[in-house]
Amino acid sequence: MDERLKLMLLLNRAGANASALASLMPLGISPRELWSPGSVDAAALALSEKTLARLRQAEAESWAERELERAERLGAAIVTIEDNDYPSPLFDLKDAPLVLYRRGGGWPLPELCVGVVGTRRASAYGKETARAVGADCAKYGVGLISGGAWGVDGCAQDGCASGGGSTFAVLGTGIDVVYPAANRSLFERICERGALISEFPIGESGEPWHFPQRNRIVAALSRKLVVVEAPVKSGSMITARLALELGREVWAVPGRITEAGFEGSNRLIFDGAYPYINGKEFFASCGADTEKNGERASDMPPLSAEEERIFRYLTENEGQTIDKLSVAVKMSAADILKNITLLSSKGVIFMSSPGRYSAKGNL
Amino acid sequence: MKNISGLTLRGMNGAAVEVEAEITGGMPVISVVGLPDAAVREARERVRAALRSVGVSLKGRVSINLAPADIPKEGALLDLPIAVALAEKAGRVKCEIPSLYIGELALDGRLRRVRGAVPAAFFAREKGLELFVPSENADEVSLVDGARAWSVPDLQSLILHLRGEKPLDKIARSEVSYDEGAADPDFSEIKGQSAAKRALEIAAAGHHNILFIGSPGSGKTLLARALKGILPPLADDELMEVMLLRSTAGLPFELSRERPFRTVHHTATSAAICGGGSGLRPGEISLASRGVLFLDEFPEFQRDVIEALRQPLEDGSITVSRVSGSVVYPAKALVVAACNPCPCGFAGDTDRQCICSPSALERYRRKLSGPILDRIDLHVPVPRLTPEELVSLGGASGESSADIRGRVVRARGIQLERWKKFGFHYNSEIPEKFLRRSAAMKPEVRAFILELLKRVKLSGRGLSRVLRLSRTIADLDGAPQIEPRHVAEAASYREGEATSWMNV
Repeated sequence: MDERLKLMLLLNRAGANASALASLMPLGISPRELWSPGSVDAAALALSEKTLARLRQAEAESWAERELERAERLGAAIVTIEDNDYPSPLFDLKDAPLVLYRRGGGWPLPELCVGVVGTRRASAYGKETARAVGADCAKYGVGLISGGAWGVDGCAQDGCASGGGSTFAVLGTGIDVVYPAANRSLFERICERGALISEFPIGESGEPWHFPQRNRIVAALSRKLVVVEAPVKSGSMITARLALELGREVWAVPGRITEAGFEGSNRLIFDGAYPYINGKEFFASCGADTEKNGERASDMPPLSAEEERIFRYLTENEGQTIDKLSVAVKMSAADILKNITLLSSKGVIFMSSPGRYSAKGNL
Repeated sequence: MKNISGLTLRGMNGAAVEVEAEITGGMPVISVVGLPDAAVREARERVRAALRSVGVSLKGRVSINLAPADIPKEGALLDLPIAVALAEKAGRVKCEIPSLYIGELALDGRLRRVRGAVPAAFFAREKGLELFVPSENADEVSLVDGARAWSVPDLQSLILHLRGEKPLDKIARSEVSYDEGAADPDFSEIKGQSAAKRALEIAAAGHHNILFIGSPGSGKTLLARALKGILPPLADDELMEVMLLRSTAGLPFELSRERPFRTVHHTATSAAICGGGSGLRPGEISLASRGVLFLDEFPEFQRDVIEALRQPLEDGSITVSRVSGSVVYPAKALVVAACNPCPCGFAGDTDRQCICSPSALERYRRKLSGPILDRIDLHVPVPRLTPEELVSLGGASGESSADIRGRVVRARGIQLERWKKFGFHYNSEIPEKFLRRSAAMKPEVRAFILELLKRVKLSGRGLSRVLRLSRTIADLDGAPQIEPRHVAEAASYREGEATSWMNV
């Protein structure tokens, strides 16, 4: 097999990244010397003892050859830092991954990609917002980068994939591991027009430190980052910090100040992040023609008079129970429930918590 | 000798036990043969003491035979026939009329309440026997039409009666009135929750099982309790069945046509729920028959317990089989299940933060789907009302249970009429093949359903459930044909909709 490819795979396997490669290159060591050193082990100058030991161990086991076979079986492609289709935004990272595994039809990445991140334990509001951002990405042809996790990540990617957009999930596990398992069908849909991306070898399980590590890739791949809902201590805040360090624009969705889930994202706004108050400004800043595409009014499906009354009330009052609705619009519970089904099937309202309904506002 | 019979229970039915006694000279000992259980074997001590209290001392060797010899006998209700047989043997009484005796004896000769008095009354009526029951059982026996029964306060009175000296009180037939007292709790006492109330009305009308999903304190249990108040009162044959079951299980007697309401805790074993034990006693599912079976904390139940419930609920009966035999009990309960939205109970709550991890939520959500919910037609979210909302609803009392019961009774009548020729009673029982053909839909409904299916996720089975519900909603409405609005309302109770807020 190609020696450069083998070198990259083995270095990646041993946990080395672009910075290690940078210190290794000037030494002019051939790959062969690296894994079977002569009398002088020059590589020890550039790599730590542990990394070298792991690399040599992997070579002794013909790990790289097997990894290629595994990738082929999975239908996953391998992109190294020396390939032409390696995403160029990653060069902004000092510790860029040497190898990316990818699965799915969308490659190379679109010119313009935005990241959407947030807590896994998102509120209904956070989830709906994430979904709307995702749907808008699909509408304006902007790529969406996220982590494929629960909550905000999954909802954003679901919204994008459902709208026919291309979305990319940067995983904290091997490319073949579906984590969380419940997102299996979402991952399949992501693969249709986007891709799953991982720097971790095939079969690697999701160790806790993998996730903050992959966040640097999310940050680097995104031209702009939208933080939807994030508590102060969270992976999303790490991603936001990394994005700022890389000079990426950070946007945050404002939330209630009484909710811990929004404390981090609200603080970002305080610290100077752009507030994401609707999709129009955000996507206009991305260069999308929101004037032409963005006419929400025409998106509104036709509503009957009864539906209209309920929808109006819900746009002004969120999280209403059937009781409140039936008093406010003077209809029986049975009639309200009938209209609720029709309205939610038209996608203009949703159940925001058990037995409470909200309108999908001007997200 | 043939004139003295006792009874042992085989499920809800009694089996006659002929009691024979023999007293011979020898060591003073009493032995009981004929497969007695521990309670029957211990009867000899109670009988000896009770007989002494009426002046009969047993001397010598006493043998008591319970025939037929090969069926096991159980229960303390055999005390009385044994005592009568011995009293006759001792020459104190003459038993000329074939009679059935049941009762547990106290040491001073009083009679105690026993379980199985109602089955005994049915048995005695069928065989044309006179029946002697403890006075404490008299009120339940009084409801059995055509039973010739006497109320026995103690052994002394029975002996006087049998000697013809002082007759006992004959138990007069009594009726349970249809007096529809205020339901407890009454619907008008429950503030808000109009969606859940509407769902209960539909559940009651079409005998649809129902699942409530809501945070602790949202009122799920109260709503479930209110359901029995909107069900029509027990009809005579139903009342008899309920009494038979209650008597078989030894539950206290209630003179009322109110439907049973049984709560099952999730730690209950499948024997407690389905019935069993060496005595083949009825389980909760049978005790709730004709009434409401409430399963709180539904996801916490063992899967095999839920699976065990499924078949009986479909068949309306349950066969309890053990080594000691097998019996059939009715199981026509309406199931109300309740659960929290997440393990901690506060997912999606407006003012309490949920502390569950995403994976715990997912595990819980998976428990809330799948085959165990196949028999549940209505999935209803129950919001926890905030204090402000409760206050704003004020004293506005909704409809009373009696008003709703009126509509339920009417809708049930329509269903009985429609399904009579197929042999069904309620819309919830209708198999798929009849449903599409005989549910009577307006022509535009088909197009409406097709349109709806494009937008909402609904499995084939889910669609059938929606159609059954639509039929019931149309019946409540008095509409001969299902209309699109009925389908739209029915679809709001579909599986998964009540948990849609927690979807990824």
